[in-house]
Amino acid sequence: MATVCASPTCGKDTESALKCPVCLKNGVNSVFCDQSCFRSSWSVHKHIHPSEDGTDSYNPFPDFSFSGELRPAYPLSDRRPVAKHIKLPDYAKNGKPISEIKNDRVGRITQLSEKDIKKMRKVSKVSREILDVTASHVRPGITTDELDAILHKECMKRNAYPSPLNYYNFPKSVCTSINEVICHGIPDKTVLKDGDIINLDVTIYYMGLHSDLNETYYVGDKAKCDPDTVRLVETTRECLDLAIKAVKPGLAFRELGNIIQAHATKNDCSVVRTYCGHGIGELFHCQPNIPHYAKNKAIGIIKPGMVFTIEPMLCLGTHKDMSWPDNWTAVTEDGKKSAQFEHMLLATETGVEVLTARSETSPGGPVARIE
Amino acid sequence: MSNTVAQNIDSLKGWLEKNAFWRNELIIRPSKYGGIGVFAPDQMDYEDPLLLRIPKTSVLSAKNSLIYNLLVDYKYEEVDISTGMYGVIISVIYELSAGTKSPWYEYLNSIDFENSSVPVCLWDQDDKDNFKNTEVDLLNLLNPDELIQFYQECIKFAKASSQYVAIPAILNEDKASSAELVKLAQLHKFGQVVLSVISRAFKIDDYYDLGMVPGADLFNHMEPQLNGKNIVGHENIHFICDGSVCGECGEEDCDHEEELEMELDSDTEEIEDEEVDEVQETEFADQLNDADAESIAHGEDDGDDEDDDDEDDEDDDEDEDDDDDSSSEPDIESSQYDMDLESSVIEEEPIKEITMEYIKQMELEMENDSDADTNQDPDEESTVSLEGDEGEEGEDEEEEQEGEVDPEQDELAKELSDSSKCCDVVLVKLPEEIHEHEIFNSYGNELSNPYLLQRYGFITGQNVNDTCLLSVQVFKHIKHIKAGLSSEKQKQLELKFEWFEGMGFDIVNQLIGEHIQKEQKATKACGDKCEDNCDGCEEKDGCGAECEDGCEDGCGEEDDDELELPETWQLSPRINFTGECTLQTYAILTLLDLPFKIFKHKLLLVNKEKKLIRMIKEIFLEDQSSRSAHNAIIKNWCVQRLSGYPVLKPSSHHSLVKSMVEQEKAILQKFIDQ
Repeated sequence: MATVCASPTCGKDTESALKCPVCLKNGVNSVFCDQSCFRSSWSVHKHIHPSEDGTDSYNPFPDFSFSGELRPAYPLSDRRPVAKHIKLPDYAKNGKPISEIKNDRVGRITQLSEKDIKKMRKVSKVSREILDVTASHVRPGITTDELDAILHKECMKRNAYPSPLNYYNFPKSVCTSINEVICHGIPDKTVLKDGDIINLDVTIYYMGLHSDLNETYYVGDKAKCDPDTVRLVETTRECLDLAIKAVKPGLAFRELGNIIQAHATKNDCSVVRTYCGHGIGELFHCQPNIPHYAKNKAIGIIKPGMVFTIEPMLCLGTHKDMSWPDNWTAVTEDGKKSAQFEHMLLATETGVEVLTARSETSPGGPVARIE
Repeated sequence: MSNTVAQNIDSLKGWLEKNAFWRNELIIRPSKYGGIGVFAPDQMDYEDPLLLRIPKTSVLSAKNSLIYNLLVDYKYEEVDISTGMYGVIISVIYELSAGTKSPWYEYLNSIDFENSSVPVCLWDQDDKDNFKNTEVDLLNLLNPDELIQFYQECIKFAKASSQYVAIPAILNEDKASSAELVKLAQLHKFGQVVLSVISRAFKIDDYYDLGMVPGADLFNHMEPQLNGKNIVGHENIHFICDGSVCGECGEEDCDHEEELEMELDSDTEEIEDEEVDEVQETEFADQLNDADAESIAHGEDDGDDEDDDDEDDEDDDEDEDDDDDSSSEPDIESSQYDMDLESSVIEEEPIKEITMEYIKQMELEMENDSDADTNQDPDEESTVSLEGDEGEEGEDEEEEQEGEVDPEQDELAKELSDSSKCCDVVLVKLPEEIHEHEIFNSYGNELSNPYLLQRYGFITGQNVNDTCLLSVQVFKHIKHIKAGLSSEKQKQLELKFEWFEGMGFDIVNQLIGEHIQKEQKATKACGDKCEDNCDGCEEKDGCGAECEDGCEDGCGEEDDDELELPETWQLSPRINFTGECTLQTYAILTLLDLPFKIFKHKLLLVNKEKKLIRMIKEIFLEDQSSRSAHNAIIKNWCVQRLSGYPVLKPSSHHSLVKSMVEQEKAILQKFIDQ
């Protein structure tokens, strides 16, 4: 019987009988087309293998000098299967978003048709529901992998593909970014503890469109009692709200960073410069590129029908980021906390519609600063 | 550069500090060569030739501008204003209009648009009358139609976009007809921006096309000089930018070519050609788009292009392999990629089972590979330091500990460390004391005065690229001969010129090109010897005192390769700066003389290309028996053209026109006196 090659950069059906011996030992069938599929994916594939000394979880990069207290807790869970009937984005099989690469920097910023806008509203609503369900499980004691499982299940329930899954070979269905992690944290066996903050960055692909949003949540009551943590999280939330208020046709994208940076600076927070807001729709990431820092050189002017995200990342200390050896997890260089909020926005004739707006029952939400 | 505002230089330097690497010790002050110039200080350190490095993302180009998405969306009526020089000009107009909100505000503020000159096609009628019979007139550079058409398109764009962005003052115009427009002060303001941009734009690369490069445009022009028969550049700097990037995304290594190839297969080339043709339809735009091409080309490009392509192809192949074999780490360095690949492809037979032993061995190999791969290019790192003097290092560290590093500076340092994403101005020749150590660029070592005037608003005295066209006289001559012929012979004459236009001229032109290049090589003063001596002329002071003039011959490979030949036979009859007539002129006269029978059998009916080339060589180039008769005719043409200059009346640019006329007259006179 044909199976799918376990290499995330392959994804082809194969009749091969070549299996990973480590997985076999643990009762898992990981089939590879040939040894080159196996070799080239080994450094990622091995992350689902349990530790050799029999401990529950382990740090796969013991020699790396981490900037904060957080450590990856491997093994990762197996790649979660996606139901056959769910429409896949082009990168789902081999990790390469060909359509995005082709569209890169053409200069045109898509304006959605009425029909697509209606679809977009629906997709956005579904993505909000999925985030809200997942976020309702955020509490001390849960692992980020468990949150990933919940999110994945909610996606499947709604016939949506979790966009991060295998996007440039990202191994999981959602990004979970704790404390000093700025973004792109990989769900693993890390247990949330009282006093942490965690960002859940959800994107789904549904009806041919992507919808992207994220929020940062306080884990337990301890986090809500730490003045710096609250200042960081609430300032970030406010930055996003202020930027959204300014959105209307005719605004230059480069102005948004000025608004965000001004409010961040006023609250003694720094703004991450490496990651930006982006256009979204049929593609996960496309034009425009929207930096969140002041005096940026973003290209373009807002027109009605454009859909894009604003997703400022603020830090208590340095704005500088570094990557873990997993090549995904971006953390602050000084190990201090970072927070992020993201909405997906539709520019209208007169202003803006927050496609991913919170509902009355959405978990999380602002808390008062502690003076 | 002539229209730089001296008072705003400090804020420009501030901009450069934030957005680029600029050699701070360089002195920017008034120059006797025009406006503001860049000078080397007495104790300049020439060890590092890099004077300016600026990220391509900070260049003011259409693709980097505020309005680029509006330009792309705009459905133009007459001219495409989203690309080429037009794209840069309209972008500059909007960035200017954005005032302090523009990321280029300090830079734009250093340019004196209001007191800039206007393109020569907008000069007043008295000047234009005085230009009659000059090259500027003959090359049709006085006709403002294309500029006006461009202006009208800009006005339409501004209106169409007014919903999203306020109409800049100079585009706020309701007059529709070109007759009304030409009288307007508005058009002159527009013209001032046009010339300011044209005179300062550089070709960046295939993706960004043309753009304004702050800092690089401060340098004044030094004209080339004649050394024997060769035109030799005397500039101190070169503008260098890796132009061989993907036109789609601006990256060097990307998937676009591969994708396109997959989709379009071999059609790709054809499509590109068509696009090029479209652009060339508008002569004005075409000429403009050539602007400053000299600053980029600089030899290496042309020669290496093919090689580069080959390399790319190889890369592509490897990429494809990667797809099949797959790699797990998205950001892994490509070289490591390759190594993994090689080891897996070359060494191994297909295996039936993966054993733990196999994995052990594999991990060992991978570890070795990644160890071998951690080398960085140390040169790259050291080229650009934002820290200033090394002595300050200690302070910098302290700063870092306090966490006070300016995030912008930090990011800039990162951007500047990748030279493939930057444009550089490098010193290629030491500044000289006789010019007070002013550092010069060359705006184009092939530019004659008419084109210098069109693009930069000035001319030089004794421009070695100047020529005098004799086209008008040639046409008159042919017409005169034709008038005396029977209708049958007239047809024969027409047939001859049809053949010349369709085929003959191209071959004649090519043969002449080869002939000139041979001659140039032969006259090289110190050819090979010099090449050896100063192989590294580009690098730094190799070009010093010992081999002075000769050395440029040896090192300036570009001069050989870029011989400019006239595009049509109609533009080919002319007198060169040296007072010699082009060989094409003799060819035209030979064609006129050629008995029809000989023409028919030796040229027209010859099918084999080799034979045809041999015949053409024989008839048009080797047979010089009628040279003196021809020279007499050409002398007469020169006299005719000399008599065509009007008596100059007072006009705003009287002295410039006078200088141009006198230089042209001198050239024509040189031929007559020979």
